[in-house]
Amino acid sequence: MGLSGEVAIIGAGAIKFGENFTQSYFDMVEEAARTALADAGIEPERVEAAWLGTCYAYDYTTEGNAGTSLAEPLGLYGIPISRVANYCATGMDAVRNAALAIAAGEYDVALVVGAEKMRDVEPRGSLVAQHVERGHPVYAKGRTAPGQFALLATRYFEVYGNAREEMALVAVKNHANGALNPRAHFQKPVTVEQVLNAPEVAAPLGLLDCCPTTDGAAAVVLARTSVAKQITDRYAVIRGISLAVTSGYFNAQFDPTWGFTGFASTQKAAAAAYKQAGITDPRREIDVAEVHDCFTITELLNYEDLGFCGPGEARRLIREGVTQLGGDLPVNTSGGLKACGHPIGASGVRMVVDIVDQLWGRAGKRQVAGARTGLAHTLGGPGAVASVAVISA
Amino acid sequence: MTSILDLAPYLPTYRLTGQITAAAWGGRASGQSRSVANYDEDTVTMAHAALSEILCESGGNSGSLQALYFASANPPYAEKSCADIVAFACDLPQRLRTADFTGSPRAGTQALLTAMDYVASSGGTAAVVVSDMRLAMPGSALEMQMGDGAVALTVGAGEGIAEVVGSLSWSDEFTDFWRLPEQRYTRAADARFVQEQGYERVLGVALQQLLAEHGLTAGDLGAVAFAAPDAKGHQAVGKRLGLRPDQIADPGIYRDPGHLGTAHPFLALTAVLERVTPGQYVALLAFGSGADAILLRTTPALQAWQAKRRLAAQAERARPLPTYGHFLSFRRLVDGEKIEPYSSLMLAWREQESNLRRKAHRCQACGQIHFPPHNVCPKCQSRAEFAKVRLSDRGTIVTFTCDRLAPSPDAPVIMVVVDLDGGGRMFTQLVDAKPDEVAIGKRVEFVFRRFHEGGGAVNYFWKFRLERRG
Repeated sequence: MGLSGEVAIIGAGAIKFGENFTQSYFDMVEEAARTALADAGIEPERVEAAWLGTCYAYDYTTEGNAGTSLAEPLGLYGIPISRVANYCATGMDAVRNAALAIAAGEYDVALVVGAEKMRDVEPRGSLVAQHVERGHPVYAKGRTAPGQFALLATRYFEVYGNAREEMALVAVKNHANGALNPRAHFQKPVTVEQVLNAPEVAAPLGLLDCCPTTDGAAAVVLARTSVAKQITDRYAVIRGISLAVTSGYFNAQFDPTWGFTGFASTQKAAAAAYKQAGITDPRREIDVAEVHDCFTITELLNYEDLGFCGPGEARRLIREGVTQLGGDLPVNTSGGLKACGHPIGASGVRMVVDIVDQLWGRAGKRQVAGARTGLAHTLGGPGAVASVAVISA
Repeated sequence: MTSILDLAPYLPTYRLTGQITAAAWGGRASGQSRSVANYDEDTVTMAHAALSEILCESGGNSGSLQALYFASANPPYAEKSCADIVAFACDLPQRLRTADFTGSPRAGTQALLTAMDYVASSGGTAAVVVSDMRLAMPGSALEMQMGDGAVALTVGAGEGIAEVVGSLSWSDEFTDFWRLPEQRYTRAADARFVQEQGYERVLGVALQQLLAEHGLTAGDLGAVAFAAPDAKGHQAVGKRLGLRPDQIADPGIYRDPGHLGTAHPFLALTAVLERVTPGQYVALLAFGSGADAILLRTTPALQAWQAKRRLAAQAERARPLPTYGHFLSFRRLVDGEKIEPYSSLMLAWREQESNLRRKAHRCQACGQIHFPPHNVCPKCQSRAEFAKVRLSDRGTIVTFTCDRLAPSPDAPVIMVVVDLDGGGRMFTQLVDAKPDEVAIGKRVEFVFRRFHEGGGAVNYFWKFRLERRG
């Protein structure tokens, strides 16, 4: 079973996501880490190694480019701490690195923190500037994050039919879930009409099809399963965790083999994680999922790429209510990136926290009854880096 | 025998009309409809666009050119060759004579005379691109009279649309339009003074002497192409030269697209060549502290050229600017969102084969063409040798979006993924189009545009426009 039996999650915590103007990067890192450590019931001194996930260090804030940014706020000096950056899959890749280090037998207890301070600059100063001012001087110039995903919506409509209303249903579902989540950035429901009538951002995506620009941090404590059992009787096991990459920002859309109706990175990462976890029918075997809904179209594509349904069947899946709270396979019960916000390095870790909350039966009004197996999925860059984790109680 | 082999104008899509200006500044709307280069166009990109009309039609046969002369009173660089940018983007052979002609409204004819000398001495073929976009004080009458555009010509020893019969240059000192180095706006001297003592006098001398040398009179000419300060002056100069109204270009070109500066005599030449018959004499005159006069005689090949209706085709695509604010923004006469894109002269130089010449890699193992060139084939992952191939100039839209988040003076930014004819895929902007004109499956063609001044230099690259070329 590879690492699946070896690595357990013993503590999980996330801060309130939002425009955290009163918190510094260090404040967020410390709050998330201490919440997770307290949840695990261990002192920081018990941590043998740590991983910090922050994607765009120094761009939006003054911190995050090295392990020191996790050591300093916790006073956690003298142990190995690595900073991980892998587009929007950063947080979950940090979890993956920690899990593999434990599975390799090097450490018994490891801490993972994902954090991104995006609102020390105005929203245009973060991801818009990222595309406009940085990177290759001319390739793909004019692209923005919503613009890149809008390309898939346009193509998906052409191949499988207009999914504009189903995209709106994703926003409505995730906002409704976010309204039940005290940690979410947005905690207000929206209607289909509001989504459809919102200002256009990158056709066919409107404002309410997009996740916001958010500050946040989340943390999990991992332990060797045999050690976890000594510390606590409440833990979750990482049965599979994978990563797959394709072409990056300046090549992805130039690849003549891409059909623009899904992401090979997600498909490959899902296949690898399912193999590790022994999942053969994800639609039936997964009880709850957190997937990367940076834009509403992305969640629909994820359904297909993760094997929750066949190609072109995502519209039916959302329409039938399969993925809403109370459905067969509730997706983004936290509110997803859509309502929680998407502090890049934090998101993957936050998803794991939300899945653990479900598996431990502490998701409150969002609780999926009897959830035993959960899935978390992040997707980075132009859809070029995907990570999938399968976690069971 | 030296001939003009081909000639093609390029006019930008947008027009600033009297109505738009009146809405901004008040007053009565004039009938003017002047051409306006898009925010990402300059005299280099317009020169490229004009020359591309010729090169694309000759099946991309750019290998036959041995010289390229660029002429503009408003080059994008005050110090750096522009001809070589155009040559590189046109994928011309590097065994090439190049030169920039600037600083005078006569720069175009100076370039053409040099090209004619080059052809006569070498027997080779030369291209001349004349391109201009002048800036006048916002709200001034001059602003509405000026237009932006370019004309490209090829000159060679073989048979063309018109043979060169002779030429004459006259040196003089006269100040009509001028601009000091630190000034942004072109200034104009007193209209009546310029008209009488400048254009009428000097062009009169030059034409008279040229005709005398060839034993001709004004009445023997099919047409005379020249630039005057404005439409009224155009008719007056024609009269002074002893020409009938049907021997000069329709003064309507001063209304739309306006006075193209250095390129204007060539716009007039295009207009008259579309009208005269084979075997007629045509004179091209350019004024600017003296005058150049070139005598041409049209050939039977002119008719096939006339059938292309190139000037009319350019005019048909014109559309008004949305607002006067767009004009101010395009010419950076108002501050916009401040953006400073990353760039690097070293990176640009390393990648100039792909980024300026559109050279892609063709995988020798599977045949897949990929751009930008990779170390490994994206299709078969082979590390086999790659052949360098130029991406086709046109293709078909695979998918697109109209992005209102990306900053642009001509928002929204339309981003398109295009599969190119013959292979390769490109992801870039579609320009000179409205969102409702874009659809999957539509045909598009490359245009060479300026992207930004990251790193302090102009970063040129490729965009698409909806397909126009035949």
